[in-house]
Amino acid sequence: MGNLFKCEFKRLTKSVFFWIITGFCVLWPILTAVFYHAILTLTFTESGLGFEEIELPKEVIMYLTWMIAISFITELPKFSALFTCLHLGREYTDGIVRNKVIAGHSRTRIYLVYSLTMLAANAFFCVVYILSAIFGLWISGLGFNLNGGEMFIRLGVGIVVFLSMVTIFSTLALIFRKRALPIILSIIIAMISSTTALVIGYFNMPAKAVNDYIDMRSERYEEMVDHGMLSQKIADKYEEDYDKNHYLGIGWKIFHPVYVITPIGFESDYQAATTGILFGADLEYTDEIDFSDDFVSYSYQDMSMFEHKDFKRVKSMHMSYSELNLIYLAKSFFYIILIGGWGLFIFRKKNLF
Amino acid sequence: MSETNDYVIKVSNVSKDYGRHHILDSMNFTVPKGSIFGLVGRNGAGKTTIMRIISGLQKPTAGTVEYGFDHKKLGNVGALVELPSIYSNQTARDNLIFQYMNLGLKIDDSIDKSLEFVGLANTGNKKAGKFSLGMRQRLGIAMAMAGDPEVLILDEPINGLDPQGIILIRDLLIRLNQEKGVTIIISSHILSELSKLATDFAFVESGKVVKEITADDLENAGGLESEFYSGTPQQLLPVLNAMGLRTKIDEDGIIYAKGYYNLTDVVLAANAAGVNIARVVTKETDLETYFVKLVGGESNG
Repeated sequence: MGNLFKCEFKRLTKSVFFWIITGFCVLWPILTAVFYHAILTLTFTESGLGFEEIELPKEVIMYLTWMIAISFITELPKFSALFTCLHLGREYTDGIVRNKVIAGHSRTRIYLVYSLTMLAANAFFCVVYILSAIFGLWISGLGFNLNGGEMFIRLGVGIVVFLSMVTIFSTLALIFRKRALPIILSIIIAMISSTTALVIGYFNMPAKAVNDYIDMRSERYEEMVDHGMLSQKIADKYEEDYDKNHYLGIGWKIFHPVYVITPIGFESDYQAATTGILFGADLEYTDEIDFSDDFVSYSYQDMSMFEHKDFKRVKSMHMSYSELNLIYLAKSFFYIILIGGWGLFIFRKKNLF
Repeated sequence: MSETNDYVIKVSNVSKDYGRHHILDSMNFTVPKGSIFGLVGRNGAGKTTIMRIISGLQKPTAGTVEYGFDHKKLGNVGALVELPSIYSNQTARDNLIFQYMNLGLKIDDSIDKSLEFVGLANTGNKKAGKFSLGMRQRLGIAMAMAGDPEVLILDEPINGLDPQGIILIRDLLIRLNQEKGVTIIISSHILSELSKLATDFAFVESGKVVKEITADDLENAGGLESEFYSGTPQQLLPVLNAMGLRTKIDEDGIIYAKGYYNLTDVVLAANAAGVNIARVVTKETDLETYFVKLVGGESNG
C-alpha cells in the first residue's frame, strides 16, 4: 500500500491542476483579508474616523479570522469537484488503474489509496487556505484572533466536514469510467450543497429551541396583553403568523431533517455564533453556538422584542463548541465511511476496467 | 504452486457470461513455460475476455485459472490488454517511474535500460500523449515488463502499427522471450505475424479453444506440401527422403512430399543421382489456411 501511496503523492506533485488550486488557496484568502482591510479603512475614513486610530474589538477580529479562514468550505467545493474527478478520471482514461490491478494490487487497496490520497490533497488545500488567511490578516494589518487556539479545532472540524463532500466526488470519480459524468454530478452536488447550506440557516435550530422560543413568546404576549400593551386580537394574529406551523411547515419538514442528518448545516451553525459577535451579541458566547440569533431577529418583526439576554438562560438555544464539534465530526466521518464504503463495494464488484 | 511446473497458466473450464451473453464457454488451454503462446480467433471469439481474466482484470463466471508461478507477487504478471495504459501527460521516463513506484521497485538505471530496450531512450521530455501508436505500444510493453514479470500478456500489440513498427515489436518480443525467458501470451489479427512469433497456438472459436497446437505440429500438420513429377519417380523418392522430406507416391508416379526444402539443393541432389525432375507444384498451409480449415468460413483471426 505504501508503494501506491508514494506513487499517488508523486503524481500529485506533478499535477498542474493541483498546483493551480494550491495557488488559489494561497492567494484568495490573502486577497480577501486585504479587501476587508480596504473596506474597513474606507468605511472609517468616510465616517471621519481614521482606521489606524481605531482598535477593533478582539471579538470582531476573531469573527473576521473565522469568516475568512472558514470560507474554504464555500470557495473550494467546485474546484475540488473538478480536480478530484479530473485527477482520478485520468486513471481510467489512461488505463492506469488496470496497470495496478494487473501488477497484483487488490481492488480494495487501490480504492483506498485513491480515496485517501484525494482526501489528503483536499485537506492540504484547506490547510494552505487557512494558513494563508491568517497570514493575509496579519500582513493586511487587521491582525488575527484564533480564540486562544480553539479556533483551530473548529477549523479542523470544518476540514473534516469538507472532506465528507470530497468523498462524494472521489467515489463518483471511481465508480464511473467516463470522466464527464462524475465531473458534472460533482459540480451539481457542490452547487446544491452550497445553496442548501445557505437555505438551511433558517432551519438549523434544534427543535427543542424552536418550541422553547414559541412558549416564551406566548408568555411574552400574555404579559403584554395583561399590561395593555397589546390587544388580544393582535396577539392572536402574531401567534397565528408565527405559530408552530411557521417553523414546522414544509420548509422545516424538508430542510430540518437534512440539517439533522447531514453535516451541511456546519456553516450556518458556526456562523450563527460569530455573526452574533458582530451585531453586538453577548460576548460571553465566544465558546459556544448561540442559536437565538434568528429568534432575536424574528422578535423585532413580531413585537415580542426579545433580546439576546432573554435567551441567555435557555439551555436549548446554546450548545458548546466542543459538543457541536463532536456532532459534526461524527456526522462527517459517518458519511465518509458510508459513501466511501458504498463506492468500494461498487469498485470491487463492477467491471470498471 | 510448485516451481517445477512446466506450465505458467492452466485455464480449466473457464466460462464468462454477461447477462444472457455467453462470451466464454468452458474454455481450456495450457500455456507452456517459456513459450510464446498465440491466441487465434475471430473478433468476438473471446480472446480479449480470457486475457482479461488471466491478467486479473475480470473474474470468470465459472472455471479456474491456475498459475504455475507466484502470480500474486507484485509485478509477476505484465499485460498490455487493448490499449497501452500510460499517462498521456507524462514522459516515457516518468511513466516508467510511476510503474516502478507502483511495484515498489528501486528507481535506478534499469529505467533507462528499459527505455533503451524498447527504443524510447531518446524521447526526452516529449509527453506520451504525443507518441505514435508504435511508441505507445513499446512504452506499454516496457511498463508491462517492469519488475521482470514471468508472464507477459499482450492483446493485439501490433494492431494499427506500420510495417516498421510491427518489425520492431516482433523483434522486441522475440528478444524478451529468448533473452529474458519471459513467457508471452499474445493475440493478433495479423496471423502471418503471429506465425513468425508464436511457439504454441490455441484456436479460439465461440468462446472455446477448438485446438491447441505447437508451431512444430502446425508445420507437420500443414507446412509446405509439394508434388514432384518425374520420369523416374522410384529413383527420385530416396533422394527426397534423404533430404528429410516425408513422402508418398501414388499409382500415377506422382510423389507427394511434406516439409520445407531448398529447391536448388533438391535439383542438385537429383542431378547427382541421375534423376530428372520435370515439374514441382508447391502448396503451403500457413497459420491462416489452417485456421480457416479448422473453424470454417473466412479468416478473421
